[in-house]
Amino acid sequence: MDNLELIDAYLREEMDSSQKSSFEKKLASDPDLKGQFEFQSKIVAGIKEARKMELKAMLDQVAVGGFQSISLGKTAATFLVAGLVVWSIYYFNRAPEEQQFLPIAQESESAEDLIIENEVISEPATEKTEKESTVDQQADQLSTDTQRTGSANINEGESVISEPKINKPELISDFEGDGSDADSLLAPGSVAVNGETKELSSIDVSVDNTKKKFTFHYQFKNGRLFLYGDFSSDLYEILEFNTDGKKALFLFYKGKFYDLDGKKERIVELKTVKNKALVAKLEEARTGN
Amino acid sequence: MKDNEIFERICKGDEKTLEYLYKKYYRMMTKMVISNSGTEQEAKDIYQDALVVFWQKAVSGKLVLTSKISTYIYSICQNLWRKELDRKRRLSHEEKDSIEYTEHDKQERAKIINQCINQLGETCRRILMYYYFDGLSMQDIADQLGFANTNTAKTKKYKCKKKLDELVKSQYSEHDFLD
Repeated sequence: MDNLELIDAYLREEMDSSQKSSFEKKLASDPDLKGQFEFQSKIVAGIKEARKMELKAMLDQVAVGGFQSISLGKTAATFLVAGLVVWSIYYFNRAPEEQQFLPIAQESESAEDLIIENEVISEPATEKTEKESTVDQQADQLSTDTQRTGSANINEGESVISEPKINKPELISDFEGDGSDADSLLAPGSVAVNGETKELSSIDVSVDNTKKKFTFHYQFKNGRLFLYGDFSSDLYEILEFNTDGKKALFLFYKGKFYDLDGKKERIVELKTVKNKALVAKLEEARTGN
Repeated sequence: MKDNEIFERICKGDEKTLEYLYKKYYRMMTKMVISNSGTEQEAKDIYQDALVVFWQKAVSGKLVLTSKISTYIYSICQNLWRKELDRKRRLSHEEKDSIEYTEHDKQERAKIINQCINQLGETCRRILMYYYFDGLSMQDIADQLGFANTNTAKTKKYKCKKKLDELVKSQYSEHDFLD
């Protein structure tokens, strides 16, 4: 073996321990080999880095759905998906003067709790065990959310006040994966709310950043909402209002509300809600203030 | 797709399966970082790094999977994130300068080599990456790239590497490069 082959074998970890130690001895006593080795190590490190970057760039192109930014455990109110039964929202949308908006402050608060609770509910027990075992072995810097197990009490009283139907996001649908690649907002815990949730609707949302022509657009296809554009720079929220079998949907992104027309099957641009009174009410519903 | 099928495909170097895996556990893995004071971008970065580690070990045949893939990747994510938190903590202390310098240095060098690799042409690029990063054998490289036999792969790899060495040396003085 010439020096280059030796270096390759060493860098590719193909040597057994005795070959390795004799190579290291040689390295210490042979300045030529040492020089070559240093140069080669850096070249190989560069090749590795380039391949790593290539793989990461490839993964970056993979659409992973919109709910990649959930940080509920950390910051409350960064994400809110609440299906609220507000019968007047449609009236409001069309004739602001006549509209009556039911108070929903309490619900928003409890909805947030529900989301966090649900985070725990939806974790399958098996994965949790693994998590715990891995975490146990490791430093305590990383605290997991396992302590919250079993705290899934839903305050029914609160949610009954103005009879909201609350759709909770399914943060982790299935740790084992079910083959479905899109993130889902399908409420998994209808049992957790109450008997009135039979009509709970669901919105599946997918984000697609690959269409060059559509940079801030949306469409509904097969009951699923597709958002086109780069939604990764901030959190977005979908607000859903149910009223007498009809649904009103709004997108909240970077401080603005956008109207989502469930009938739009063609790709259309997202347009801001301009009605100031409606915006104020939406903001109220969103923040619970 | 079941774990053993995923693993088998990845071991064969199927990048599409890596993409599938990426999607499958995206939320689960990024959530761990986000709920441990990481940003979304950091979470994504850590998860991608973990998958790359998994890929490299699997493709090179150095990994015998004794747990579920998700468990394995999850623990890599945890380790990487712990390291990153540690790095950040040290950055806020007096070691800041030296760490930043080393990091910068490493990145600069990677950039230089990347530029040189790109000048070699696609086949050379693939051979060198498969050989040094993916840890493929000459037989695997011959199969992947459609070479007649391992000898062809060996000769090509030798030539490509020589060309790369010369290119790096010609564009940057050895002293600059090694410093």
